[in-house]
Amino acid sequence: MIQVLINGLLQGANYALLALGYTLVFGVMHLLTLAHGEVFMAAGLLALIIATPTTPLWLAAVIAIAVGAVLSILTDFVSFRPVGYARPIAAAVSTIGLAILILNATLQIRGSSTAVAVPFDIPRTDISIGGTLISMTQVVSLVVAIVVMVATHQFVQRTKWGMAMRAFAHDAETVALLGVPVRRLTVLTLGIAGSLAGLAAFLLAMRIGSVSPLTGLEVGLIGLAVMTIGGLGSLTGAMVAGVGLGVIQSFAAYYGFTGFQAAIPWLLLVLVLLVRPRGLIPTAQA
Amino acid sequence: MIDILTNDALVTLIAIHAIAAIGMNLVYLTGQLNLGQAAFLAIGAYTTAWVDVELGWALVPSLMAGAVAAAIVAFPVAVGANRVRGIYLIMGTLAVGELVRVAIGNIEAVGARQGYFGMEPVSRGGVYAALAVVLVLALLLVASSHGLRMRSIFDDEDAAAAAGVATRRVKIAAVMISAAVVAISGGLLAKWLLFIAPRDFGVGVSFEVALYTLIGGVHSLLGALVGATLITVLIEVLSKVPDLDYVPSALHFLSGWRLVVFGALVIVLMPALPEGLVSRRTGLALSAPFRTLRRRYQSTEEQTHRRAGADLLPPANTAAIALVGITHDFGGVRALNSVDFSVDHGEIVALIGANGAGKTTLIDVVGGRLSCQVGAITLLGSDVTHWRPEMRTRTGLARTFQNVRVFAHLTVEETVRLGWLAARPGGPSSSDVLQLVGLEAHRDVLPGRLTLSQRRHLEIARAVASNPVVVFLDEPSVGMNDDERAELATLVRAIRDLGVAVVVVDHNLDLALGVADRVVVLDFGEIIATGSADDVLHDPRVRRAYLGENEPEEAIGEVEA
Amino acid sequence: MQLTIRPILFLMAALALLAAACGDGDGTTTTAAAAPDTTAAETTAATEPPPETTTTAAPQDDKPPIVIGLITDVSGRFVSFGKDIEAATNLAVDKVNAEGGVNGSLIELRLVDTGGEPDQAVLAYRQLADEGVFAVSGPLSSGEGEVLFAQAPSVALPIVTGTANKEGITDLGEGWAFRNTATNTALYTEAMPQWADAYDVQTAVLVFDEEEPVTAAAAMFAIPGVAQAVGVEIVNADAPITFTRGQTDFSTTVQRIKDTAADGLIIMSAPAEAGLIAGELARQAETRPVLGHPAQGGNTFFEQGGDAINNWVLPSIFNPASDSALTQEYLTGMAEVDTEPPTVPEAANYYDNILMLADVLGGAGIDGNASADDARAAVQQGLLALCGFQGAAGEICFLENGDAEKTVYVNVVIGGQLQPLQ
Repeated sequence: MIQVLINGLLQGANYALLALGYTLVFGVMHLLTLAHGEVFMAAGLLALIIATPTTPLWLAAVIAIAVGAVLSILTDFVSFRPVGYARPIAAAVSTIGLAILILNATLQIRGSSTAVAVPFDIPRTDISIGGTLISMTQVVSLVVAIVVMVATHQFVQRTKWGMAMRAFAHDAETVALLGVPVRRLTVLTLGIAGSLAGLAAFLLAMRIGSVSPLTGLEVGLIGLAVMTIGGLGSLTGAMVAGVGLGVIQSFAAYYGFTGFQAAIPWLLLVLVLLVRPRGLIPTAQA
Repeated sequence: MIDILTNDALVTLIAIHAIAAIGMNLVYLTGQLNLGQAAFLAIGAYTTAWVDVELGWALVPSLMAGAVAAAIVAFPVAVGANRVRGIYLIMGTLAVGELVRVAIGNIEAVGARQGYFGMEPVSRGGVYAALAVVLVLALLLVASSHGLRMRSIFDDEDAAAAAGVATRRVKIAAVMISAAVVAISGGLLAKWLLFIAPRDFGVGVSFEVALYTLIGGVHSLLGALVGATLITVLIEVLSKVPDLDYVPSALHFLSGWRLVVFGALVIVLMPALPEGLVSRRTGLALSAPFRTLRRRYQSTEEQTHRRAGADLLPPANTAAIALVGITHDFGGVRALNSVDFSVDHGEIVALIGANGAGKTTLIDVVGGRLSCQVGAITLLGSDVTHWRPEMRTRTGLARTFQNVRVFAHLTVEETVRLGWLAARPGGPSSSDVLQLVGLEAHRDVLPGRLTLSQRRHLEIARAVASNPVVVFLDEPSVGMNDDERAELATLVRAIRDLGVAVVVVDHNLDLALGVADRVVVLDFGEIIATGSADDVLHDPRVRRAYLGENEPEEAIGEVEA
Repeated sequence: MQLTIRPILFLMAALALLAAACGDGDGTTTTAAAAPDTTAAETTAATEPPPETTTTAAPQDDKPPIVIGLITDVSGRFVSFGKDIEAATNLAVDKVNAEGGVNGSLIELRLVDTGGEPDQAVLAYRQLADEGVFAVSGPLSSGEGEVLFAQAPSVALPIVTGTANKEGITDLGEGWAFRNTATNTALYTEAMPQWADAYDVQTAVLVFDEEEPVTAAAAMFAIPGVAQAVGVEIVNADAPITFTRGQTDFSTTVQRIKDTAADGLIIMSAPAEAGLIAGELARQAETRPVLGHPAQGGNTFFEQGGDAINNWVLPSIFNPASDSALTQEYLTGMAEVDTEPPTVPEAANYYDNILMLADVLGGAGIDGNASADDARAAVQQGLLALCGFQGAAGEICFLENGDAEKTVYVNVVIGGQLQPLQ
């Protein structure tokens, strides 16, 4: 039972990290990046391809985070800037194109849809709490995810750049007039979003031992659903919704919600939108 | 190349995709990006297949059964979709797509996840005939008055409501019509695939259908056809690259990379052709031959309508509009405090006040964009306090917006016609209105090519075309030079001379005071003076509050809602 | 009111007009039924070389080729099967052509990649029909198989799969669809008792992918009956443990497996998910014996599963240890062209498909000059009558419904290689 809860929390933390990325981008730039799931996939996959059996854990994590950041920033240059920040639909469509491109280029370059296994040994130390075996990797993953989420939240709330982000979200034109370097701000936003995706991919790889090229579409869509359930632009909402969804899915899977498992995120989404049209924790701007 | 394009199987598939694209177009035309069309494709496919297999229905009735089933399911979706906008709408429809797929996967009567089969195949002719019929009907719909209303929502939902469009109903109807059309495509797909399973209707299919319209262009049905054809053919041609003799072998790798090429194409097309391959202007040029025809029909219609209301006179002894005790709070900040005033027929009232005085809030409450918290609004003797904006417009209350809100993809003539569609009988025809505002030479032009002043005039024309009892002009002279302002003043008087009550809200005192029969001064949500221009200008409270003789900084920096 | 009613009226008018425009329903259906014949006839006329002149005048070695289609997945989720299938097919085509072709005509292969998409598969099949190919080998998955086999009666182009195991799909073909492999029931009737004996299994947990047609069919239609017949109790028959294709997190799924008491696990999955489940089973120290499905035996499974798939038992229709000369010739050939071993066992069926088609066409006296209609009819009749044909994967005998009787072998994964179960 505790194991099921922990599985749920871990999966939920993964969703939340991903949804935080969507939320940051949407909260600051009012744009939707549908390529985020593929950024997540590519970051995890590349990190595992680059890594060797002797690569230390932290280095692999850094690679995943860096690849995620670079690809995410690429979204800005390839999709958002050419289309223009003022055209949300066209920008979102352009990111669909980017998602199709990343996924299929990955499949072609790899020559198969085979998942890449983690090349190094994942440390397996188990601790026993009241008869339940819990792996340290899981505990560390969970702690890292929570720390990073809280740190991101604090960054946006407390630092100068975070304030610039929030101001930009509120009134882009005025912020530009005030001399805030808008280009750097968008790059920073997408960079953070991509790093979170990279970290999420790395943690997933630690947990399940591999990353599949096909994982982006599924996980990416769930991340989107989580962001919407939480409330567009709401960092807290994304975290709550992500963890909540992970736990619900985990228990549903355990108790054999056969036939309807794939529907859970979407059922939640529709229910939440019907009761609260602007998500669990609505923000003023969305 | 030619071989590939004339291949029967491919052309059939293109036709099936084109029907889905038309369906997508009809809903996106109302600004609703439905990313759950796979749901309606699936409902159409399964219903058509089921009535065919179990009840032995023929092609046409079974397709219609699919269309009706989809329209029925679409109704609650459409009502729900009306509660949300933008990304929430996209995500909500995406969710519906997935839920329908999962639901079908659990219905044993249609094979659940194992799939369903046994339907009669459809002939090529049947598919082409269906496409032709759907296309003709869709063209008629888009060209109709209802189509004009749909298109106005794409550009600006608030402005459409102000123009008298029942946005809610039009949007719900669009979702349902679209679902029915997409379902016909699904029905044909079922009778082409001959075996369907829930997995054929995933998110990817929804994306693909949306891309047909977004790449082809939403502002013309030709765009839907072009988009569906281009995408279907592109994927097919690229996969056949190694079989084409004239393609150098160095390019054969494109076959495997076809989806990569497709993704890159989307990325390149979006910034290059923001409106899709077939833009509104291309569509406009294509429809030119039909315009004279339509104009003749419309003018007859408008004349009949006018005669029907020729003897309609405003009821005696009733003010055009009367406001009583209007109070409005924004989260604790009182924007309007017990505002009372009324306007008579054929009277010009200038409503002035500093920034933040509550002028726009007042117009929004009167127009119905903001709901009225306290107080009552009486229009021509009827209590309209809680009516929807479009009902107020159709009863004779017209407004313009502070930051000109014209419809980017409607021509000048269409914009005025949109206003006329909500008109009470007896008013001017749309060509009369065009003449009145001096835009008859630009009737086939899109607002993007008009000057700011002309766009203001267009917005006013839209308001006047609805044959209003009273019209509220929100800051009509902003950004105008002196000549343009003089022209505007003449126009305002001409409107008054039609018997319309005009309320001008303006910063520019020259204009407001110059045309006004009566001036009302608003300060911090309260009326502080009312009377002739001379009277209020000499009122010490007005001079202090509005002209800022004391405390001049107070109003600066406040933003009106 | 006017506004609410108008669109609905419009919709109704639209539907009425649609009805009117398409004429009466019966007429349309008749046309539909008649259409495929017309298509076939037209295409034949178009693709057939000018008859008299060429046939009589042309020397033997100038004969037009016999074109055979191969519909498979060279991209998408089953790509690791598709590549081996393509290689095996090419090997067989080369073999037939090296031996002089069929009645003097060489075999030319037209490969079409479906990417695993049913509509692309239908497009491919119909286009191959229009192009005048004599027969089609494929498709790979049961998901594509059911769609293509449903097309077969109206397209009238013989199609032979070597991999799709799902029960009943050949019936859709009404005599035009053939399966040169075993059904799920046949596979497990052989495999389950051997597995149960080898690992002393009396009770088992059933776990399957509810979206993947072939594995879902195996789990829902084949396993329960076979288990009952051979005396293995499925402990969770009322509460199957399922997952969906594309799922990446199996921690809870495996948790549930662990919490279910039984002697063995029966896991029906596609390759990618099977590999992930294997990894998660190992992580959670779950070591009970596993019975799997051939659909998961692609390279993906071996790469992803690593050491975790040791001792998994998979039924197969291919015996690499056979001392048949043809089997050894096939294996030698594949070893030269297959860059990523191990080779998918079922690829041998596609090797046999070509040899079998060549044999049938040869026996019917068909060469590249034959009309597509004649050739297709000959293939259909020939395959239905085919019995005792020796292929690389053993003897092939087709039944009336298009299914074949095949010998089933039971293999176990040891050290990343499939070996016969002792």
